[in-house]
Amino acid sequence: MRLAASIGRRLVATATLLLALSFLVFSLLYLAPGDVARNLLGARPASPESLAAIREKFGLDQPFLTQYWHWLSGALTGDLGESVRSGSQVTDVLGQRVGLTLQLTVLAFVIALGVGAPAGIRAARRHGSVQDKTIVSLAVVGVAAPGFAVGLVLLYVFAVMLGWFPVYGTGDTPLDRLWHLALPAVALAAGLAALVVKVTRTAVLRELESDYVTFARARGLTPRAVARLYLTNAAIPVLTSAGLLLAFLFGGTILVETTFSLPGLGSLLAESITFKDIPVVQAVTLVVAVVISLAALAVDLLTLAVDPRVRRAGLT
Amino acid sequence: MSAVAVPLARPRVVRRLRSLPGAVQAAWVVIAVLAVMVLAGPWLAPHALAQDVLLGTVPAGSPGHPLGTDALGRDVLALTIAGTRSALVGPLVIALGSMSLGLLLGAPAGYRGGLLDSLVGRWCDLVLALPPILLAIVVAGVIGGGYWVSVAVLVVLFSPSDTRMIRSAVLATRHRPYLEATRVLGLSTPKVLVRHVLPNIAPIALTNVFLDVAFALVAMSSLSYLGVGVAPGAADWGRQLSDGRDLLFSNPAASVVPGVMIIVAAVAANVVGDWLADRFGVGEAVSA
Amino acid sequence: MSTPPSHLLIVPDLGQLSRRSLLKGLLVGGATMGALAACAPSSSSPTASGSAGVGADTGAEIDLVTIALPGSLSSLDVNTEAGIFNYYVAAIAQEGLLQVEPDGTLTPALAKEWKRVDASTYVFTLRTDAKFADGTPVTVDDVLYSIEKARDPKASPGTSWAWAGVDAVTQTGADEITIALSAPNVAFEWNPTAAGALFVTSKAFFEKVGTLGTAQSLILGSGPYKATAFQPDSYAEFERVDTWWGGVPKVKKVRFEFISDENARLLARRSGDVDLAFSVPIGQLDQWKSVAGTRIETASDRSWAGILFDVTVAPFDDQHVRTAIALACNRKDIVDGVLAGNGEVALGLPAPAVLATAVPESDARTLLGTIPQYDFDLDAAKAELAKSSVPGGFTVEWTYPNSGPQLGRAAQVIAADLAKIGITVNVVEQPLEQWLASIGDGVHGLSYMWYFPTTGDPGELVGYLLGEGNPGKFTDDTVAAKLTAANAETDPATRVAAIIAANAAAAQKVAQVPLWWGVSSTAVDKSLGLTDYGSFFFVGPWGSRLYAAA
Repeated sequence: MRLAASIGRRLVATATLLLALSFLVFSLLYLAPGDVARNLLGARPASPESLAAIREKFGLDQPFLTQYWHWLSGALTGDLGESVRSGSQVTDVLGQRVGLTLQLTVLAFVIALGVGAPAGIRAARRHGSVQDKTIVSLAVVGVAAPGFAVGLVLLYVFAVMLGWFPVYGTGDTPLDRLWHLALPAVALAAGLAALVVKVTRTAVLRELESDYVTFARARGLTPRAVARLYLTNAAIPVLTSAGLLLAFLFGGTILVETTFSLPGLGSLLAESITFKDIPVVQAVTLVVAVVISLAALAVDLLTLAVDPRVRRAGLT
Repeated sequence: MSAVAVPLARPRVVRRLRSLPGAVQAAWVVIAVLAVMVLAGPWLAPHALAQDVLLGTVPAGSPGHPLGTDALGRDVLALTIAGTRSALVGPLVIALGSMSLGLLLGAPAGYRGGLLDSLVGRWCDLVLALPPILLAIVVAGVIGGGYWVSVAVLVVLFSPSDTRMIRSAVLATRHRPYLEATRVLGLSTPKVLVRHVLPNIAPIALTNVFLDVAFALVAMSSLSYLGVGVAPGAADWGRQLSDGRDLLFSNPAASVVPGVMIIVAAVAANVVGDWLADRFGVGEAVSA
Repeated sequence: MSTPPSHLLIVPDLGQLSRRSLLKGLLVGGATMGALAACAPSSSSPTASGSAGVGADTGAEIDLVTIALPGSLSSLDVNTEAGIFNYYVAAIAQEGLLQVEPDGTLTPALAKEWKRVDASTYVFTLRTDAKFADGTPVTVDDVLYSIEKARDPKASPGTSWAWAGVDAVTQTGADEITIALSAPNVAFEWNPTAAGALFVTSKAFFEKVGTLGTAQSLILGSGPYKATAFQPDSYAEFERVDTWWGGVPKVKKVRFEFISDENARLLARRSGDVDLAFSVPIGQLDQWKSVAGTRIETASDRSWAGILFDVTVAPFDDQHVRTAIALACNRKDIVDGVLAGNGEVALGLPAPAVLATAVPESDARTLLGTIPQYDFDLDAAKAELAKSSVPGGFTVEWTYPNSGPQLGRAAQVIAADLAKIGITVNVVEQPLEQWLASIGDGVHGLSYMWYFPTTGDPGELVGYLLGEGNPGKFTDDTVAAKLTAANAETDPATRVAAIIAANAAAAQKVAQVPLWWGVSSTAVDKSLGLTDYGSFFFVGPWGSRLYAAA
């Protein structure tokens, strides 16, 4: 019951966060330099009448709070409005982009976890060995080398020199899509994998040094059984940090999307901000925020499920 | 260039350095060299900004320009040396600033819990959910761009992760017997925090300052792309990187050299951060 | 392939935004009465155009031509988004009443003939054999409806400005439309073209889809191609139709790929995925040339880059200050160095290629030679500044759009020279929109103007920069009188003379500092021929002018 109440409180908090965020983003865009009507007209000798007509069309002549209320009441009833820049429905625009970014993120996440976790475990088990040092060095450079650099190297080597992968585009069939997303996903995964290596290695090391492992070994448990024991315990911090990172990945794919010319949420957001395309920026920000909040909630629930000390303190 | 650093180091420092793992030794040497470049940059490369437009871009290895020139005919080597100051001072300020904010918000939140904790938590959520580009563009538009504006933006953007980490570190120490004891003794919260909690979490904070420097280095250069950061043409690694991107195929050194410098500095900061983490036994300090 | 992977660099992570995604993506500009350059004009040799070394037309059909755009489109409808690349793309599918030939002459499109009754009345007779790509005939109703939509600033923010001077559009015969202007404007003919502000679509189609140019609705026109697919910021695909009055083109399918990162675009060409690339950046020209089987077609892009003063903002209200700045601009070094020769020192406002639509280019150059020039002379600049209200110098901010890195570099060159006479210039890079908003905002006295006309009206740039409501707030009776005369003058040579006279009178007062006229370079695969390639090639029905070269 306490858990349900906790989750309920958390969901209310999330809703409040989204509301606050939407207001903050709206205000920031309102303050941002530039003028939507001017952006639409370009640098032409616009007559005051046409500027006024466009402002009226998008409700820009209304007071700030009225504009926000107009957006909010629409959003609450599921109407996100239409993009100022393209005239399309925001839901359509989002629908076209969100899938790609989601696929890219999930693919990168799977790669990062699939490569990072085993490497981290191996490094911890061979603590101090050459293998350990190599893995750790790679991870340190991986954390410091941004996805963009990795992206261009990958493009050059695998797409241009070897010709195994396409240079740009998204692919039509699911298999084709996977082929197109392979390099971007690897580029995106590089930094994350390095972090997963570090977290996994530290977590496994900590478990290996704890008393219960020594105890279990002394009791004569098979190495396999001991490993299962400490790996289960080490998995918690790994999953926790990886879960949070997945959410951040989702909101931070712009550079990789640009390098590979992928039409995802990241590039959409960047372009919409400079254009002051408020309905689109609001929608993208909220989608990303929802994903981040849900991931944080899931991670907290996970921690709650396994760590009684925290359970006592309750969810915050 | 390490020759420059050695005379500065006292023998005892050298002896201590020798006892460290190789990577950490190298990282400290890199940091020392960078510090010299920060302090002596203007003397080492006085004419870094001198243009030679008609010369234009020449590749690395050209006479008089070992690393070639950029689009305005400026020497890449001199520019890179002169750019160290701008590249490193900002990230250092960002790391210290965001950690101070983190301590200020995170420590009381973790110690007191309750409403304060919820408020701080939601504040962090809000900042983390805010698209960084939006904040950068708006701040630049309203206040005007510039180096210190981008530093300020990054302090705000970096602070939630520091706040959360400090909060959980404090949370972990809160139930330790001696802290329970201080509560029983009726010491005021600020006193307990400063005298008893802070010493406990200082290692984590210090470790993360180094890791933050690494992230901030990369982040600062990204702001140059937004026109929020360093002015175009200024001597700054991040700026050189974005100015030199068109030259990727005519003089790769114009962007690769400052890019490598950013990685080297970031790796050095990371290595030292990790080493501190190991030394203090603070476990994994991932700056998410 | 000559560059090893280690040359690839590292760029930022947090702000997560590349300059190009920001700017190349946002193309604004480009049309009859003024539009700032939205894409980087660049090139090879001034004004030269030519298909030297292209094989003869084999007569063969081509299955697919892939074209790489350096930015992306968010709408296919030029009425909604009127960037220069929106024009290029829409030009293969949609038509206006008239069309622009590659050399800049106006010829019939949906109107089989037209007549200028006087400088404010135009009569167009529609052709009866035109069909939309869906097979339905183009009717007078469709044309009237399209014009009505284009005039409405709410429905057509991208094009409505061009119709502001139109008083009435009426059907005056079975196939005849008369357009009456509220004031004489001999250059009006450029507006009802797909290079200007008219993209005729079917009324029934419009009513069915509601919003044009989205991924769902696409566009419907009467040109040689029809849109078959569009993914905003990713690609657009067109297939040829047999309904175009001009015949069936050789290329079956044209696919536009939006590759916002310039390095990725070059890599795409290297991997052989791209047959044609618009607007290759100056800095990468040599690399593009070195890709096997690539030729670079160059032509004047008619763009103008220069300094615009807001003469109401101190100290730029002082002509001595403006003159000092003009004298401190080393235009020759900028063109030779910053542009690597891919451009021409601008002597005035209209580019020779634009004037050449009205008078022979040699005459145009003679006329441009009569405009007062301020050649680089720092001593004279210093002396001039000493006579001004700010003899000791001052500090000023100078913004440029980050879609034009060469503008930033030129600004840095000029800033270095201005520093020598005591003027401190802080060069600031801004996203295109922000930069647009800063022009003529009453705060920035010193700005860049980067203007990229799609049409060939010789009076366009002068009208925008010197006419009523100009962004520099410059007023001068002589200039105004010459401009009014030019608008009503029907003889092309006399009109050009009046335009140049207005330009010269303004130059006397240093209203602007012309820096350079741009050249644009198109990279083309050797197997692809472009018939009559010229300055206006991509704003006409160019899809029908592609052929298979031997």
